[in-house]
Order: sequence, then structure tokens, then C-alpha cells
Amino acid sequence: MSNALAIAPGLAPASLIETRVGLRPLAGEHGPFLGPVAGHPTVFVNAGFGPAGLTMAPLAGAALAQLILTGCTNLDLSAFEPPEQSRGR
Amino acid sequence: MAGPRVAVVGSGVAGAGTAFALAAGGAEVVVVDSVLPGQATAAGAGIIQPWSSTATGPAYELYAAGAAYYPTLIERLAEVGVADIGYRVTGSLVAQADAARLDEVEERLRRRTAGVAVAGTVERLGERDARALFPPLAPELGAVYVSGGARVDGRMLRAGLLAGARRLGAVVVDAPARLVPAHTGTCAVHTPGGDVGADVVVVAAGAWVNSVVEPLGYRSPSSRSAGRSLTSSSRTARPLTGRRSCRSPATTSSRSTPAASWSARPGRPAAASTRGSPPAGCRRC
Repeated sequence: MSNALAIAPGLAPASLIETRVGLRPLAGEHGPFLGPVAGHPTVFVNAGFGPAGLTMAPLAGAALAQLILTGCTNLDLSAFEPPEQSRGR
Repeated sequence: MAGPRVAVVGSGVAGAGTAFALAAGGAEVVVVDSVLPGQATAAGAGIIQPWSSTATGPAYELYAAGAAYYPTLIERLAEVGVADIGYRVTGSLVAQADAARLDEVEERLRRRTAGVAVAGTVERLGERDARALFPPLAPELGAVYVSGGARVDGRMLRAGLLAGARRLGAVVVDAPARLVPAHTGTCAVHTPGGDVGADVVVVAAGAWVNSVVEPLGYRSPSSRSAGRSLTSSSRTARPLTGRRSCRSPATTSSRSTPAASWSARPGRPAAASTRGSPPAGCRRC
């Protein structure tokens, strides 16, 4: 709230209608995980958009659907392939 | 020929978007989700303005392509009778007190929006002009305005995608799901009401992805961070003129400062994950 008011002090007298909190899945700084799980070629992950999900996810979902239905995508998803296994966790 | 039967675990924007596209492509789709409190889709401010982001490489490419995809998505949803997902081109302000940092933002925006129709035009604004667009703004902040910046209502978007998927034959089941390994490398989706058999499973369970895939012996190196947005009403803040709005828009203030809000990703793993070469299945068309 104090952060918000530092940017927009003119909102100080405003009434607070709602605070929304959500858990953002973070895959890492290189973007989400999109693609098959190692060892499970019929299981696909589509998650980890962080704060960018509302921008990225509709397109990512369309690309993943194309991959599942046709075996290929117009969009290069190779950078978002789920890693084989998490390390050290 | 009937398409494959696909179970989508998760009904936030990732699951709903995948389900809609799968159903449109002829798959027989079952969406399974118990919708726990804390779904990021429902809490997001929905600012669609990737061009000032500090992300680079494929992550930025996907970010920008995602914003550019919205007109197509809206068209595809309209074809199945979904008229409104709460998407509005409002224009965006990136506000910043430090002029040198604002120079960097302006340079990035000009470079990335050149020739990108959906991004519109970029304009550097002084304190007074910035406040004219968004009166509650702190007086010491300068800003860069992007006319193609937009907002989407995450709850309406999710509902629209699910409605579209349903109209194309998808079934939505309200239940918690876990994957159960089955024979021949396949798996079933286990719910309290029984197993959902599927040829393919998509795990789009957001912050809960690991609890869904754990029975497969898999764990993705993802983590969670809390995203917050505030909605307020103000008697002193005048409505914005025309289509213009603010990057931290009139009724919603982002938790972080505007210039930092796209780069701050607290809680991410320190080390980037190692990725192998893409499987044959991920080749480009």
C-alpha cells in the first residue's frame, strides 16, 4: 500500500475496495515451462509464467495445443522445455 | 477422425487457454481443477504491456508475441460466441523519477515497438503531462506513454476461455487432481470422483504444478511468489481522458514501482535450470 501511494499519492483519500493476492508460479528468469515432461512423452507442463501469465498464457496455450495435436509448433518453444529434473531441491 | 482425449489439470489462464485451443483443434478435452484460493489469474492486474520489460531472449519474444496475439484470441473467442474478456486498449504509462533510467525505458520502448502495430506509439511525457493523464501520480515522476498498452481482466479472460472451450465440447470438472502413473508410460488423472482417462495430460496447475506431477517422480524447479494488486475508488481522481490510462492504471496500483514491476521476480531460483536439446516433438512447423 505504501509503495502504491509513493507512486500515486493522489489515491490517499480513496477507499480500498479490494486487495487481491495470488500465488505466482515462477519457473525462472528464462520464462515458463512449456513442453513434455522428461520420461513421460504424453504429459505436458504449461506453468511458471510469474507476473507475465495474463500476457503470455493464451498464446502459450495455443502453441502447446498445436504441439500436442500436430507434433510441431509455429512458435519456437525449445527454450521453454521443462528441465529433466530439478537439482538440489 | 476424432481427436485425442486430453485432460487439462488447472483452469487458470494457462489451463483455460490450452483447453480452448485444444478444443478448437478437435481434441476431446476434460479440464480438472478444484480452484484453490490464491489462483494468480484471478489476482493479476492484467497489464498487457511487455515492451518496456527488462526480459530478453526467448522469454521476451514470448512476452511480446503474447501481447500481439490478443486481437486473434478475441476474434477466435467471438467465433464461438464469447463477446467480452475484459480486454481494453487503455494506453500505458511507465513512470520513473530518475530521468536517466527513464531514458533507458524510452529507448527500449521505441526500439521494441517500431513497426509493431499493436504497440501503437511511444511518447515521452514531462511531470505535468503525466499527471494530466493520471492525476493521482506523484509530482516528481516523469513518464513514457505507450498508446497500445492494454488491460485484461484475468477473471473474465479465464471465464471466456472456459466458456469457449465448453462450446467446443470441453467438459470442466470441479475436483482436485493428481497424476497416477499407468502402464506404457501413460498416466491417469486421479480425482476423488474417479480417474479421468486421457491420451495426453497437460499440467497447467500454476503454483501447484509440483504437487500434481509428484506421483510421476518429477519435480520442476519452479517456485512461488505472491503477486498482489489493490483496487480502490477515489473521489479526487478524475476519470482518465479518452482512451488513455496509466500503466499502474486508474483503479489498480501495482505492488512494485512501475519501472521495476516487470523485472522484479522475487523468489526465483538462484541458478538457471539446465536444458537439454529439444526433443523431436518440439520442432517448429
